[in-house]
Amino acid sequence: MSNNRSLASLAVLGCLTLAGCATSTTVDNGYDPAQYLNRPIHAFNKGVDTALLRPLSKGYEAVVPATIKHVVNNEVRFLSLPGTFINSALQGNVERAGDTAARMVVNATLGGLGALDPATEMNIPEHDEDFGQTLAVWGARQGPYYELPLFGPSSARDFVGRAGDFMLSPLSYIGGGTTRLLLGPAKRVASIIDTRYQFGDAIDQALYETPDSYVTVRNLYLQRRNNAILNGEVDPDASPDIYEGGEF
Amino acid sequence: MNRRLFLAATASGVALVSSSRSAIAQDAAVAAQAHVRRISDDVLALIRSSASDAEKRITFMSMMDQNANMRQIAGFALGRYARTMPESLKPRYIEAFKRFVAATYVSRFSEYTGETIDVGSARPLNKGYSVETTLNRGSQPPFSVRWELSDRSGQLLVDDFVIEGISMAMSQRGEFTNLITSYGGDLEKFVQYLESRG
Repeated sequence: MSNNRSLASLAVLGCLTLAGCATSTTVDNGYDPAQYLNRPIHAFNKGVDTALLRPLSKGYEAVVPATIKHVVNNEVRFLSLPGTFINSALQGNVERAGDTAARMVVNATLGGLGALDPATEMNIPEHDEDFGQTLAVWGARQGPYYELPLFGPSSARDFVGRAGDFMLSPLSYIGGGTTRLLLGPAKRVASIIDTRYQFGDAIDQALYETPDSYVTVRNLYLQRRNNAILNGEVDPDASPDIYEGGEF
Repeated sequence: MNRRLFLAATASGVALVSSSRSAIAQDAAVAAQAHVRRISDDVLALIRSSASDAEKRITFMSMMDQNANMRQIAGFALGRYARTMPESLKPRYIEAFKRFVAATYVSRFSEYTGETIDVGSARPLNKGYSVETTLNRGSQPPFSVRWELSDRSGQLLVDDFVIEGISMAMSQRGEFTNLITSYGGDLEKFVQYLESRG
């Protein structure tokens, strides 16, 4: 938290001294006072994608057999279940916690420790909850938008959420010595490659085919997060209306 | 037309939207649902057709003209600049906007092949109606797509659609307002950019 606060004060300090903050910091889905800091980080992240992630994902797509890609995806989703379970419980969402517990049990046993996904065939709903969403449900505000080096789009709230997720994750505690040291990062690498592969076209489009990929990524991220926090139950009457500015 | 017959016709996927103005008044949410079903069927058929991309663009543009409130969406996408755009520039902008949107969507058609769409429940909103649909993508996880429609233009048209929480109108607005600001508010320059992309 204190780390985050100092980042925020750094941003404020920057606004007092740099011309980059002359434009409005309020954006469609929140506010972005640290844009002058975020943009170079975005350029760096995009460079990492161009040089590393995108080629890696294309190679993964071309070389790795479909069955293995399927298993990797199942495992990545399986290993995120404990986090979803804990956060559903922290949010007081009994239904989601129950679904997630059932999914864990079924896929751990019949699914061979998550390699297969019989829970989906049994129509057990799948959810995705993290500590950033929990903080939002508890009433924490989104705060400034930040793009983090390597981790990508985030916000003050989601930045704190990440730290919480790390501490809540069973992978941070399982085993000892090398196992504990490697399991978390291994899951993280698999998850990054799997995500870059699963959403390859959408990510390519956002990063490489838009006039300003920084704005596109920010916009998509903040809308997605808001939707995740509300569990998809956004009130359409509260969302922006194409007639809000009068007839065009 | 009696209501039960209308429901039965809707359920069997027959589009009665244009021929039953009174039914729309009676049960507009059901009409909105039928409208969405017809549009999604048309789009899926277009995706699967063997036409060239250029041909698909033309078809897609006329589908948008008939089924979506393109003028109003174009205005919304300008954000605060909608008020400053001179009337004389609007026709050019709206045309460029449609071409730009059609080009963007048609270029992504190739990612979709074996998809099916389940049209779910419709419900009335203050501003119109919303219809929930699910896009099934074979082995990949399905997408939820929420359509928003209204008849505020005088006929039932699509106002926006929201894919997994991402509003297409909002996303477009975020990009456009940012671009216009980077052009120092020069709307003529912005329209030229759009024309070059469409």
